[in-house]
Amino acid sequence: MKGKERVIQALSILSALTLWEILIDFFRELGVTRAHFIPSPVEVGQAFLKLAFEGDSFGTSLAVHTVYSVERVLAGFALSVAVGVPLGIFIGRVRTLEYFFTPIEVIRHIPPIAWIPFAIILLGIGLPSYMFIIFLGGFFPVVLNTVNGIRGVSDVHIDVAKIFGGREKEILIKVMLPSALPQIFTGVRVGLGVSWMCLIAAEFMGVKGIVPVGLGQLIILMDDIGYLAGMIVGMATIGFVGFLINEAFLLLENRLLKWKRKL
Amino acid sequence: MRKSIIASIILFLIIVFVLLGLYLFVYSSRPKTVRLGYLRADLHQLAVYVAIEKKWFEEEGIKLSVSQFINGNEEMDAFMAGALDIGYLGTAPASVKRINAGAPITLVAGVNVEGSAIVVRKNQGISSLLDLKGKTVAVPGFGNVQHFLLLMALEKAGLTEKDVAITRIPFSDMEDALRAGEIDAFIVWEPWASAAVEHGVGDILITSDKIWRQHPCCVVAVDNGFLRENKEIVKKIIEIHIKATHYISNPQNHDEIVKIASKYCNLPGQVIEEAMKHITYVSSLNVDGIKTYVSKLVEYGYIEEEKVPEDLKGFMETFVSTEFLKGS
Repeated sequence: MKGKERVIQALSILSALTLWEILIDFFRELGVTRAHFIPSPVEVGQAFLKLAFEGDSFGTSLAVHTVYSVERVLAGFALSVAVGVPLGIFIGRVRTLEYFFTPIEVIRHIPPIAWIPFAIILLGIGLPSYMFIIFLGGFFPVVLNTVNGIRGVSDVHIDVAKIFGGREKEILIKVMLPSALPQIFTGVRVGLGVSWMCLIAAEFMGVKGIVPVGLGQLIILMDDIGYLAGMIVGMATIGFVGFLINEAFLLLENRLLKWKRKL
Repeated sequence: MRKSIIASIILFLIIVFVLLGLYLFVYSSRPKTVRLGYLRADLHQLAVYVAIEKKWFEEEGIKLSVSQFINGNEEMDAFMAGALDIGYLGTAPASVKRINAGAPITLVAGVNVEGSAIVVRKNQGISSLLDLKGKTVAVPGFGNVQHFLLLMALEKAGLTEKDVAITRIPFSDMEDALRAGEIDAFIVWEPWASAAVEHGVGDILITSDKIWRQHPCCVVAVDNGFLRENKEIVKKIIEIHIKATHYISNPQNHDEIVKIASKYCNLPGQVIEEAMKHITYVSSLNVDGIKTYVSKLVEYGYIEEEKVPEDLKGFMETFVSTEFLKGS
């Protein structure tokens, strides 16, 4: 079954690429000017090789751009988790805190991109600004899922722990956290996805450093100089890396939460 | 089961083709108004501001729909999307996207020469180009006129772009970034260099005439399809452009010109007057200058060498047309 799935997935990618190539060729043949601007899969492949081995006009390779972007996301998202999970636990445990923090909901509805000018004024252009934008993107999924996870702990479990003389601290660590963990993991995974998207937006604001690096900057550079196949390579890399991060996280989640499936 | 799969694939393909057809139909049927683009608050492009203010387009029966851009790179994207008929922008982004991406445009008139400057933060001890080594310098776009001039200036000082940190910031944020210490220098079109000086934020390190004397800067570009079908309109627009360029150069109109520029750049008259000293308004096209752009941009790695036509002279004839400038 697994093998069949893989074959179908490969066919899906292959047919999409073929359709893309055929459509481009068809419209170019028709003499549609704009079809010449949209690169064909073959051209994107060539651009990938060029960017991977020769690098962009600054000589920065695709791998370097990717590493910088991943580093930035991890830095910003670590902050989301470090603040989001404990805060979520507190809010989940204490009703009064929930009312206190409800107004934050308003902030949740401000897209991280809208924060960019504010971030530039507050923190300048550079890592702190990126971390701020990425933090905002990742924070809310993490905190909301943690709250829900803690809330969702069965009263029966808590009561049983109390009957056996469990203290507040013990109940939190031994009963509530394990029970809420799957939901917290979901929050972290979703948050990481949102953070990754925010990173690209953050990188659009500029980069401080000896050369512009990061996948978002690569896209801007490629667009500026009209190397559109390179631009698509940047976009595809973002999608692919985001996908890999998600898969890696699912794997980790499955391993850590093995006990849950046995229940 | 199998039949329904085939049927849905066919249906999907039909939908794709219909949508694409619709898209091409809608976008290729051009509206009657002329879609004109220019850069926001760029004193180089004063001629188009003057012509709009004086209502010269209306007088000739030309209805405009105007779009503003923050740099030439984005204006070129609009040309490629088929969303512009005619536009004022820099020679560098026009050349880069004409060659790298095949954007279908022709340069039909000059707008100005010179008129950019490198501004450095006050009291940072940056007094020569060599002092830029290791510093952060902002450009309004990669592969545009200012980025190009920066590369040339660095080359003159024996540096390369690897020796400085180049960052891309919208022109309107540069002064703030310099004030905040985020960057050490920027290169920008006037009046934003003079404005930073006037606001006490920076000093001019070098004006672009000292980097490359009489360097071509902004040009008027026309979409090739529009040019083919509307030669008369292009001719009229270029006549208006030439008239506006003369109007700017006439000292009698000085006060009025400063007022218009002041309005379009949202800056006081004294800044505009200072900035105008760095710009020369000419409607002629310097073909050799444009050729220099192309060959230098190849050298700097911003135009793909394999895309540069072997017959550069023949290519220039398709890229630059001086037919509308005759008799001016």
